[in-house]
Amino acid sequence: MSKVFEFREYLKRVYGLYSKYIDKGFQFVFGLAVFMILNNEIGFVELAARPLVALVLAVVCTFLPMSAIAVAAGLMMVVQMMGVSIGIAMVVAAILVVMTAFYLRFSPKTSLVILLVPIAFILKIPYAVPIICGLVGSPAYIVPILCGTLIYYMMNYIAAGITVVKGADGMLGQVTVFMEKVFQDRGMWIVAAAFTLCILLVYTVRKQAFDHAWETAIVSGAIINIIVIVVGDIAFDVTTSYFPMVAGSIVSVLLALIIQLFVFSVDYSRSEYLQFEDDEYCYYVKAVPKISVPVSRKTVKKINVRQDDETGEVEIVRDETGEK
Amino acid sequence: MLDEKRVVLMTKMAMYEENNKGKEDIRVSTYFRKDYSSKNLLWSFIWFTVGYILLGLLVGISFSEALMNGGNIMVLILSGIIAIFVYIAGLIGTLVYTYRRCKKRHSDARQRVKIYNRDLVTLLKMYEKESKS
Repeated sequence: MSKVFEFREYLKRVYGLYSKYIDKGFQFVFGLAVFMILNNEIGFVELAARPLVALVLAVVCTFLPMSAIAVAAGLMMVVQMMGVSIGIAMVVAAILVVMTAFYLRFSPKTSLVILLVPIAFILKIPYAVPIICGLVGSPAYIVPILCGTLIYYMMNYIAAGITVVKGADGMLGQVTVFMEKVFQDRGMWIVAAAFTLCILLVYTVRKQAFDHAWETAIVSGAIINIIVIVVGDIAFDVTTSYFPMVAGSIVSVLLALIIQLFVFSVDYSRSEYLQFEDDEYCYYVKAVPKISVPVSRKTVKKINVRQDDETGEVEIVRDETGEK
Repeated sequence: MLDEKRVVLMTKMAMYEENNKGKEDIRVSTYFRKDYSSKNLLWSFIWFTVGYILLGLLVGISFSEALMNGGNIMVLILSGIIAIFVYIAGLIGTLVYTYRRCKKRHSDARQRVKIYNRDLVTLLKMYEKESKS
């Protein structure tokens, strides 16, 4: 286990040295993934669905703030929806404007979470997002998670049901069919309820003072997801395949445990309990030390022996750090 | 001759200036508090109204079929009255939240810029001391 912590300290050191490049690299890769996934799922406009367009957009967004990826992804989504119908594109644009007006305007940085949710759905690990947001964030992340869920279900419905939408009568008919199918999708509401309860439970449990609260929070978050989805499916007669759900939950738990390793790793065996008071309060404090492992720095010493003919002296060559 | 204290101070000030927090703070502190609040209240009003109208249209389209098939005029009038009440309540809530947020943001920005200005004065005194010696 100490090797894992050493690796963590090593990664922290590397990040500290090259954070500028790593951040920009991550931004580029993330942007490229978002645009490629959009093109793959709803690439109805051939010109905009080319990989070169996704690459150019990703490169441009690398040099802009992170929220530029969300703006570009929103615009791309509207453009792709125009390939289905102008009415659908207007509805999608209206939904994105409503999200901006009521939420993103106040918290533009959470646009990253909105983009992560559809990506997680496509990678079959959607349950990781509410668990991780509950660990590192707050219940305020419920809103961007629900927004991301809505965006995914809109994309998913259009990708699967484009013939139904196009076959509807007129623009208003297409829009009505689209809105009804998306907003009356019971599966979406069940998943939304599961994510909401998951993030609330994970946040509440990880804030508690008992040992291994974070691990308990992660596992309970995954369990509540499964329970709510199963109960919702039975109650509202929705079909969900359970094997991908359970497998996705297990992978989500593993991911969350890895995140926990970097964000919050403490040694409960060395907890200290303190009690003191001042004029106003009595303090009962539990101090849990963080796990910190010094990383050993390897130095290579080269010793070259050079025999002097007359005196017989030996020369020692200095190593890379300048030490003998 | 490099003065270590001066370099440390200049580095701290440059970091504050360069990062987004410093730029935003300096921009916000150029406004009077009332002007800053008024500007943001106006934007909140516009965004909320536009968002609410769009939301209303989306909800209306979702339920258009039900309304056309079975809805009577009284249901429509009642829905309209509820929508107006919700709009007014939502708008008041948004404007109150915006006002409080702007007030705090302006006050915090002014505090940080005050510290920055104090550092500027300290830096100026260091230069003056150096030029005298």
